[in-house]
Amino acid sequence: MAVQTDINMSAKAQVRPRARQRMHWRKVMTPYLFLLPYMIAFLVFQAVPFVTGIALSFMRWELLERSQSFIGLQNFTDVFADDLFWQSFRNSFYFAVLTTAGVAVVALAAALALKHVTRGQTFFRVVLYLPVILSISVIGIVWGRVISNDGLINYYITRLGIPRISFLGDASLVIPSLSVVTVWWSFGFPMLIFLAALYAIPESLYEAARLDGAGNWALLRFVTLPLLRYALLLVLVTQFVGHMQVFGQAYILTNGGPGHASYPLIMYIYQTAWRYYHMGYGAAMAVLLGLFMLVIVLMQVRLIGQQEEY
Amino acid sequence: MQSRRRGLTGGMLSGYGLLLLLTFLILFPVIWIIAQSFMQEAQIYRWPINFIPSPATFQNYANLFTYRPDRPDLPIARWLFNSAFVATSVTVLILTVASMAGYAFARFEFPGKTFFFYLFGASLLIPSQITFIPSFLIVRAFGWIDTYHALIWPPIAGFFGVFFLRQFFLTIPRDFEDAAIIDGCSRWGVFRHVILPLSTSAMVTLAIFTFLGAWNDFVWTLIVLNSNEMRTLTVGLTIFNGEYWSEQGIIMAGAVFTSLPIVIVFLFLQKRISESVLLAGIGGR
Repeated sequence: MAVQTDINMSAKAQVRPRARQRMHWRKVMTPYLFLLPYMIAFLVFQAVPFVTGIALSFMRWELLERSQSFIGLQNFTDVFADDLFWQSFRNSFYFAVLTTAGVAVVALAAALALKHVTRGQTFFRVVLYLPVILSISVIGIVWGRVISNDGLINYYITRLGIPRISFLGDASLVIPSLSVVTVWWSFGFPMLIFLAALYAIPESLYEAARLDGAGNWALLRFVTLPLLRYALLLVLVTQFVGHMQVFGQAYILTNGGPGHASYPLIMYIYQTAWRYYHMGYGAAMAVLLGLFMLVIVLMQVRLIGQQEEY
Repeated sequence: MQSRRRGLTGGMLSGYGLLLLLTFLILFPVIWIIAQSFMQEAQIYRWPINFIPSPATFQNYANLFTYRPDRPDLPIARWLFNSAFVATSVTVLILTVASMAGYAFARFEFPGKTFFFYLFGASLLIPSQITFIPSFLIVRAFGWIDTYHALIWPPIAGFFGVFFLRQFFLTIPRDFEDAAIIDGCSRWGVFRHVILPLSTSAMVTLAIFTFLGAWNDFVWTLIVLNSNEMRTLTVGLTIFNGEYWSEQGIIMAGAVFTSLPIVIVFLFLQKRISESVLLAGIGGR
């Protein structure tokens, strides 16, 4: 870089001093000009909202009132004493853990299968990725019909002579059901990530391990999985963060019910802010959620990053 | 290699078994919904469940586009336009802004470079929820509630595109640029005429993911839009589904119709999507 610009400058060294100064100024400014549009967007839609969000969480801020006031930690003490906050938090967490685990297992299994098949790989890859591109509204419509009380699954269940299962009406089944729907919807992208990582593993490692007498399970356990560490980390982190923010599935399929059994935290924040207009209280919950996710992500990074290096 | 030598191995068999099972689990509900969209209302509710529309009808699709006073308005053509317009605008803007910023980070040395890179990068760790409420207040202060602006501008601030394109630009050999610069090309000229043409694959990949993300966005769209005709397909269909669940045929037709454009685009570009994930090494190392 430096060398190349030096050549560039010396070629033009004879130019008049004023012009040279101008050229120098232009050279200094160029990178900032390239960066400027993004910087403005970042400032307005990331930095300012971030700071305001934290400030809001210390304020009593009602959307429909004129005056807002600083109330210190009041919002946070209220949140900690709010049973619905804890319930919705537990719901989101339970959902996120189930779904992240489900997605990781299905995506990894599918990627391993894809790597092993020689024919029809493209076909399977396309079909398995298909649900990812469907919108949440379509997912809601399709699965609403599939798992409703008179839906597809219950039709086959009753034909087997088993009584119908109320997937969305039973408080203990509703979150696992939403989780299955979500795994169906979203394992495609992690599958591609795993597949990419699998192709990056040199075949020679497998051959060496086989010569040492390793069986298929040993290959998976001691060659494949350790080398998939970073892909696994990426998938676990992004999936967990994404699913902790679950909203649409519950909004469309259960509206948080039965009772509050599938009421996720984001729906609580959403309703606090946009139905009851308690912006400050909503912001406090959002800040807590954000902090929690940050801690989880850092923990996951440390846990997986810690295992022995190859 | 291995498998060809040994013929059909056990690993391959279980691989096919799993893939066939997943294919079945994915296609079965999808095909059922498509079949239902061609059924008359009575057949949809008939028990036992059946898969062959008889008689097959296009009425559900026709109903999507006809106004009926006895039912809430369903301006599906307008929703389609909204979705297409918003997703296209977001994609064009993000590609423009992110490629410029990505180029700055990939090819320039300047004071504050590391600082800005980590500052922007840290935003990837901040969940969007923290910023939802304040972003809403900002958008409202701009007078953007219930306008396209509210959906089009905020996504530009996302750092993923910048990072993704920077990573790609770093893989382009510098020789091309050096040659152009010696020939007297400005940095902007280099960016426009050397870097961008060499980055089509990365740009297309980013475009696909951005477009899909904008097309399927739910929470933010729900928050900032409130009139029926401003809605995107994703939100509009959901609300229609919730408010008017008694006409399943139309809803099924709506689900199929609204998925169709994006599925077709996907089928054309699917090779590119998986190749770029494979090549970009998102998963590698």
